[in-house]
Amino acid sequence: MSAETTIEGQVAGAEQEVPILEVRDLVKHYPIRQGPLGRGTGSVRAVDGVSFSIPRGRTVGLVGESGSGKSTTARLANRLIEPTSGQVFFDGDDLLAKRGRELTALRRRMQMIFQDPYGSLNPRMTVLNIVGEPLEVHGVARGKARVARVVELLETVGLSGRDLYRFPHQFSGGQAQRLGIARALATSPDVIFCDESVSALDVSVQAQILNLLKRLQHEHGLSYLFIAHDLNVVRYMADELCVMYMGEIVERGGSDAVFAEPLHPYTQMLLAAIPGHDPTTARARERATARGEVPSPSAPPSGCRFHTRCPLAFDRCRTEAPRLQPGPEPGRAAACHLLDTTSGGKP
Amino acid sequence: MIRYLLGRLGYGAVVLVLVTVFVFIAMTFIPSDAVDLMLADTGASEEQAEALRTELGLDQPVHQQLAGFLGGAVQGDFGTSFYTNEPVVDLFLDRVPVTLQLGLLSLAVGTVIGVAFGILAAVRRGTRTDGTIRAVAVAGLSVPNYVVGLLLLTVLGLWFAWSPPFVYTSPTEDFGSWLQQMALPAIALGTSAVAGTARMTRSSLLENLGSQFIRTVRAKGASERLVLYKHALRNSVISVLTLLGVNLGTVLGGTVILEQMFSLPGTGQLIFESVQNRDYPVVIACTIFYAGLFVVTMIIIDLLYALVDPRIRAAREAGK
Amino acid sequence: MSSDVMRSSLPPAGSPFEPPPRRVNPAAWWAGLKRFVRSEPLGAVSLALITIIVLVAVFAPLVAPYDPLLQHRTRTTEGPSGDFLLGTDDLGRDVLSRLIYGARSSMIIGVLTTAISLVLGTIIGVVSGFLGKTKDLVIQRVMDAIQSVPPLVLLLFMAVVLTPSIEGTIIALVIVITPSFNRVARAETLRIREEPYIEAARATGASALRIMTRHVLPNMVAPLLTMSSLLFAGVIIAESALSFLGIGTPPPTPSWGLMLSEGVRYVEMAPWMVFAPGIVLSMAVFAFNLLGDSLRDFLDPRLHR
Repeated sequence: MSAETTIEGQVAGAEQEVPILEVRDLVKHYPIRQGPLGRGTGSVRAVDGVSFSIPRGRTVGLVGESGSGKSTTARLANRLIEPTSGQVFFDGDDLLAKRGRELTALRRRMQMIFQDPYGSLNPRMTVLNIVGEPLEVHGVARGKARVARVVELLETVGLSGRDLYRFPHQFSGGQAQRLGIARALATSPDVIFCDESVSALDVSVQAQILNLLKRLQHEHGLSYLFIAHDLNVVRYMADELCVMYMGEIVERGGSDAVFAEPLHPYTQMLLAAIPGHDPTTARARERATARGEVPSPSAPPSGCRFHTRCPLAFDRCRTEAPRLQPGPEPGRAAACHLLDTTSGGKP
Repeated sequence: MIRYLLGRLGYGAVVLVLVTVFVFIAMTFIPSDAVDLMLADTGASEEQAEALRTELGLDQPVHQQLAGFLGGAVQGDFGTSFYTNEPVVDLFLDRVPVTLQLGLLSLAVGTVIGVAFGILAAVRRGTRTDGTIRAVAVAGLSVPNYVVGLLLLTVLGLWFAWSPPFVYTSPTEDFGSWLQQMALPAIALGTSAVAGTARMTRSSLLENLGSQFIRTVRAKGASERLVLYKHALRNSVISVLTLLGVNLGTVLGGTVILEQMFSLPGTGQLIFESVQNRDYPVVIACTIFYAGLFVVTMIIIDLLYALVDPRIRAAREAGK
Repeated sequence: MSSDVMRSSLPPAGSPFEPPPRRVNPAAWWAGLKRFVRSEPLGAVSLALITIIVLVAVFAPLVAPYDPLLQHRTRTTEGPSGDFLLGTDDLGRDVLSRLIYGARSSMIIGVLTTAISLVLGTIIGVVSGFLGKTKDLVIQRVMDAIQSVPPLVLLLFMAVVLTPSIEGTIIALVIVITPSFNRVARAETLRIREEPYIEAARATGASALRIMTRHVLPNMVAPLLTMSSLLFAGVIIAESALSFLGIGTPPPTPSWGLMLSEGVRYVEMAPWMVFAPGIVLSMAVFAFNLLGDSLRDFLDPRLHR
C-alpha cells in the first residue's frame, strides 16, 4: 500500500495524518554517583535530543553500534524509562502526561518484542499465561474466551493450541520468539517496538521471524519501531531509517535512499562494515575505514561526537556540533559539517 | 580507610538507636506494668505505687521514656536496677569479661576444628573421608549447643565422675581452674560453628586450588604442601572471616543458656536473672548492650576483612 | 521452512485445547520427588525421617503407649524396660509417650512459626526490594536492628513482654526469624527485577502488584524452600531452648526442651531422661538441616548442566 499514501500524507494532508508515534527532543541522562553520599559528579548522556515519528502502518528502523542509545530510545518512547526531558505523542496524545489508568490504556496499544527470546518469557509460566497475560491485564478476555484468543494468537504466529500448557524451555529459540510476538499481538496494538528482536536467532530462523513480522504488519496495519545493529535486517524491514551515534540521530531518510547513498561518514562506515556489501560509490569505500572505538558516553567529545573516529574530520568538527541538515531528497537529513551548504561543504 | 570506618560507625549507631526504639515499643505491650509486679506482694497502697511510677518515669508516654533513655545513654547512664539500685552499666561491665572469654574461646574452638575439617575434606575430596566430614559437620550443627553441653556433663559425670568446678575463678587468679570451667561450655558452643566453617573452608579451598593463580604456582614447581598451606589457604582466610560474623550471633546467644547451665557469672546469667525478676531496666539495657556487642564485633570483622583483602580495601576507598 | 514451524503446524490432536488445564499435576510432583530421591539420597533419608516425625506428631494419641501426663507413682525413674521402652521420669511418667507428645509441640510451633515468618518476611523483602531507594534503606535497617540482637537474647527479652504460652513463643520466634526470610526474599527480588521477563511484563502494562505476585514470587520459591527447611531446624532448637530455660511451652505440656531441663537434675539416677529427648531433638534438627542442605544442592540450577 503505502508509497502513494505516504506521499499524499506528507504533501497534501500533512495536518490530517497524525503519526501514530512522535517523539521530540528526547533526552535521558543518567547521573554518575560517587562517594558515600552519592553526589553526582557528572552524567552519562544515553539519549541526547532524539526526534522522529512513525507514520501509521510503516516501519522506522533505528540502527547504530551497541551503546548508541537505540534501546534506551525505544524504552523512552514507550515509557518503560522516564525521560529526563522531551515529549512523546502517541496518536496525538501526550504520553508523558498520562497517569494510572490512562497510561495503562495507552500501554495496551503499544507492545514490545525483546532481544532475548527465552529471557523475556517467565520460565515458570505456561504459554497460556504468558500470551494471555496482556489479555488479563487489560481485561480483554477472561476464562474460555481468553483461552480461545490465545489459541488464535498462537496459530497466527505459527504455533498451535497444543502448546498451551507447555513452558518456555520446551521451545526452540525461534518458537520462543514467536511466543513473544503472540504476546505482543494479544491486545491488537497499533505500534510494536522490536528491540533487536531477531539478533539472538540463527540466520535461517531470522528470516522466518522477519517474514512473520512483515505479514502481521500487512494483516493488522501495525507500525514498527525496529531496532537492530544488523543493517541487512533493517534494510529488509524498514521504510525509514534513523542512524544513531552516541545518543544522537546523525542521519535519517528513506531506507533505500540511505543505503543507496549514505550522507554521514558514520553511516558510510557502518555500511562498509557489512560483509559482502558493496558500497555504491567508490568515494564511500575510500572514506569508510572504521577506526577507533566509541568514546566514553560520560565524556563525549566536543563538537561533532564522531570526530574522534571520522576520517574526514576538520577543525570545525572539533569545536562545533553539527545540526541535522536537509539532504538532497525530501525527508533526508544528516548531521555533518560537510553537508553545510553555506560553507560549500569544504573545510 | 578512616572514611570507611566512620561510615561503619554511623551505620552501627543507626542500628543501635533502632534497637532501642524497638525495645521501648515492645515494652508497651506488657499487660501489667512493672510497679504492679514489684509491689504485688508488699501490700503497698495505690499512692505509693503512683509515687514509684513517677520516680521511675513509667507514667510518661513511650516517646518521652525513649527520649529520656537516649538522653541518658549519651551520657553513659542506662538506668538503674529495680532490685540492687546499681547502675546497669556497672552490672553489665562487671560481668562482660566472662562472656567475652567464653565467646572468644568457643569461636576459636569452632574455627580451628572447622578449618582443620575443611582442609582434610578438600584434600581428600570425593573420598569417604570427605563424605563423612560433611555428615559429621551437619550433625554437629544439628545438636543444639546446650544439648551438647548437657551430654558432655552427663557423660563425664557418669563415666569419669568428673565435673567442672562450680565457682568461677578468673584466669589470672587460677588458670587451671578457669580452663576446667570454660572448656565444656566452649566446646559445646564451638560445635555449632564447626559445620559452617568446614563447609566454607572446603569449598573456598577447592575453588582456589582450581584457579589460574594456583596453577601458575604449581607450574613453578612448588610442592603440593606449599601450594596448599601458603597460597590456597591464605586466600581462604577471607571466607572464613565472613563466617566468623555469621557465627557470632549464634555464639553470643548461646552464651546465655550455657552460662546458666555451667553457672558462669556472665552477662547471659545477668539478663536471664533479670528476666525472671522482671527487672525491666536491666533487661532493656542488656538487650541493647548485646546488640552493641554484636555491632561492634561486626565492625571489627569488617575492618579485618578490609585489611586482609587489598581488593576490598581499594574498592571501598574508591567509594562503593 | 525449517522444523521450527513444521512441528507445531501439525494438526492438533482433538479439539484445539486438549488436554484440559490442570493446575496441580500429581504426575509431575511424583516425578520431581523421584528425581530428588535419586540425586540426593541423604535428602531422601531426611525426608523419610521428617515424614515419620510428622506422622507420629499427628497421630500421637494412637502411637503413644501411655497418657504422657499419667504418673505411675510406684515406678519413678525406672530404666528402659518392656513396659516403658525409654524408661520413666521422676514422676513416673512414660518418657517415650512424652517424647511423642513433645513432637506435637515442636511441630506445631515449627510449622506455624516458619509459615508465618515465611509469608511476612517474603512480603517485606519483596516489597522492600521492589520499592528500592529510601524505603528499602529504612526497612532494611530495621531488619538489621532486629538481627543485631543475638536470637536467644531477643527471645529472652520477648519473654518479658509476652506471657509464657504457645502463642507467645510463636510471636517471639516470628520476630526473630522473619528478618532471615526478608533477607533471602529481598536478594532474590533484586536479582529477578533485572530479568528481561520483568521488563516484558512492564511493557505489557502489568501493575507492580501483578509483577510481584505473578513474576517475582514464583521465581524465588526454590531458595525460600531451602531457607524454610533450615530455619525450621532453628525454630525447633530455639523452642526447646526456651522450654529448657522455663520460659517457653508452659508445663505440664510435654516438650523436648522441658524434658531436658527436668532431666538435668536426675542425670546421675536416670540418664535416659536426658539422653532420650536430647537424641530425638537432635535427630529432628538434623533431618531438617540435611533436607535444607540437599534442597539447596538439588534446586540450584547452576549444579544441573
